[in-house]
Amino acid sequence: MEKCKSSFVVAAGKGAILELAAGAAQFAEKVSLVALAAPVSAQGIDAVYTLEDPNASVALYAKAIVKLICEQKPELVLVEQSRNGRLLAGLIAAAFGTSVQTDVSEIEYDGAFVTKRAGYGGLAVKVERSAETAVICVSSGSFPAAGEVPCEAPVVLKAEGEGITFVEKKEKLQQRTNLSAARRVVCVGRGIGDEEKLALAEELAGVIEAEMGCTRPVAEEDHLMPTNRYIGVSGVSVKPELYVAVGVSGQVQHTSGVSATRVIAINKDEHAPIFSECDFGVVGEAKDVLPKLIALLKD
Amino acid sequence: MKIVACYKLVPDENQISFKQQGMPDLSACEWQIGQYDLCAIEAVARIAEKQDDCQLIALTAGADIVENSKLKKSVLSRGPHEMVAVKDEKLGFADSYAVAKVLAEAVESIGDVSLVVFGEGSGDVYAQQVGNLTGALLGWNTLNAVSSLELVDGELVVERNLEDCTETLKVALPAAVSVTSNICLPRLASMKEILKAGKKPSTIKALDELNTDGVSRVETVSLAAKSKAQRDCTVVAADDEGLERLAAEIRKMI
Ligand SMILES: Cc1cc2nc3c(=O)[nH]c(=O)nc-3n(C[C@@H](O)[C@H](O)[C@H](O)COP(=O)(O)OP(=O)(O)OC[C@H]3O[C@@H](n4cnc5c(N)ncnc54)[C@H](O)[C@@H]3O)c2cc1C
Ligand SMILES: Cc1cc2nc3c(=O)[nH]c(=O)nc-3n(C[C@H](O)[C@H](O)[C@H](O)COP(=O)(O)OP(=O)(O)OC[C@H]3O[C@@H](n4cnc5c(N)ncnc54)[C@H](O)[C@@H]3O)c2cc1C
Repeated sequence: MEKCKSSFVVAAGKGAILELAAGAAQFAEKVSLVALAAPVSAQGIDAVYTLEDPNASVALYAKAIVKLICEQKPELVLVEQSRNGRLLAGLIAAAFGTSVQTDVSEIEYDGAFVTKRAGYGGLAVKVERSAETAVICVSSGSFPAAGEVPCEAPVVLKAEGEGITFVEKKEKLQQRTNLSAARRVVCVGRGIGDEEKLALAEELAGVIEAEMGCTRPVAEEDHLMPTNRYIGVSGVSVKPELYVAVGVSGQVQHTSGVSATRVIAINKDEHAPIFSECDFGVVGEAKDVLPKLIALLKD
Repeated sequence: MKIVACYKLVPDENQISFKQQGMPDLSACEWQIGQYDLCAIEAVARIAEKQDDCQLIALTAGADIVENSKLKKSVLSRGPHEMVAVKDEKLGFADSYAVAKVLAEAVESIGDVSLVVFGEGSGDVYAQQVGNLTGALLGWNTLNAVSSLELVDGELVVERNLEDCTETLKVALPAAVSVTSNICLPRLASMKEILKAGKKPSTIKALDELNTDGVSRVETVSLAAKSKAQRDCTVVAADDEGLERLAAEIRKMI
């Protein structure tokens, strides 16, 4: 396969570093890495850069990272798709006078980088072609991971942001979820309303051994579930055998994150869009349907 | 002090259909202000209301739709004192770099701006990039993922909501920040505000009044409907028979 000359990988997590290193090595002869957190390196990496104080904000190092990458003029910059990754990708792309190709699920190289992403909340697939330099944010799982190797003699980058001062950082205590690998998912939408009905949905999930998921507003507006449990274009993608939606309207931004073998819906509105996206649906109140369903399933 | 809030007009996804060749047909769509841009407007409207002598300007770039009077009133009823729109056919299809160039030039032409805010991501493409690119092009302090924003002694104090932590930073002005969708809940405009909005100034600028061409750097090769899974779509009432069938459907899968 034809390769470009040089590339950069910018990432924090070890998993992302190993994946993006393998991806970059597929497309470029030389791969340099900016490791934003712990010093990690991978097979195929030719040079590693780390941050002087990875416990401070990555934002303090943005200028130094942009300068470094601009000096080396790579044809490809692969960036971890995290919030810090998106920020750095934008700043790097602006310096090269181009846009970022974000949320990319597939990459091909034919002299330019041609990528695929979702558009219109997942209704459409958008194929984009890069200018001279491609800055790409890739979804995790796009490449098989490269092997880890010890990170030897990295070049340490110093903070250069005068205008930004770091005050503090608080770690989040979020439980990890198994949602993206779950075989069965019970998903609650705003129709679940309150803790009491949520408990019923959780009981159903217990009976059928399913993971709990939710729609974005249930996590972000109603704060009934943690944000790492919302499913959709901007959240987790799930691919279970069985997906049961309770009080979910079925907007495309949500349903595009669901590719299930069988979709079952419970919603009180017979016109809810979810009913044209499901295999089997029941028109009814969650608080009536759930207890009866649980009783039938326990029999 | 001048603050600019950027918002994008987007088609309602529920009304998009796809033509034979695969390109989306937006002709029947109702247009709206990006859902998450409303949060950005609200976040700075609250800051502006607390400052003496603060001018809040809403800024958008797009095709003819930017002149729609209902949408103009809608944005102006949510706190901004005036609205500026850059109008050009190309901008309906421009990439985030082209849009960012236009917004950066528009901010320069407004002059003396201390802070530009953006939504988390647009309602249609959701690349979450226009804010980062615009900030970089202006050469200002630039941050995304901002979940709390305060102006203290002429400096911003921001909280960024990252995947595994939240961090607090102080940021010197001028700055460009993209805020998260849960920074605050957008207000519902009162009738009085909507009536007042009709009298607030709005300016439409042509692209050639700005020092940029609106040409995309990343080319869209194609934009086609994603194929959908075929579903049975059997829908029943929640009577005894319906519930028996529901239980049977679930049992089949476990
Ligand atoms: C029919 C169609 C064809 C298209 N063709 C192309 C193409 O050929 N090439 C291509 O790269 N892209 C194309 N696009 C997408 C392009 O127009 C994007 O809207 C643009 O790249 C902006 O990026 P974004 O929507 O992802 O914004 P984001 O980066 O997600 O937006 C972040 C924030 O920036 C602000 N913002 C974004 N856009 C504007 C704006 N216009 N005015 C004011 N503030 C704004 C808002 O506050 C928003 O919340 C096309 C879109 C359509 C509808
Ligand atoms: C750029 C962008 C990205 C987005 N990303 C995502 C995403 O990743 N994931 C996501 O989920 N959303 C996302 N959204 C939001 C999305 O558009 C919808 O707003 C959201 O999915 C709706 O959530 P919902 O179905 O829970 O709520 P609603 O749309 O409010 O629906 C609630 C449903 O519950 C039913 N109901 C009410 N009461 C009862 C009852 N007692 N019993 C049974 N049924 C009842 C109602 O009939 C209704 O159909 C995004 C939006 C934008 C603009």
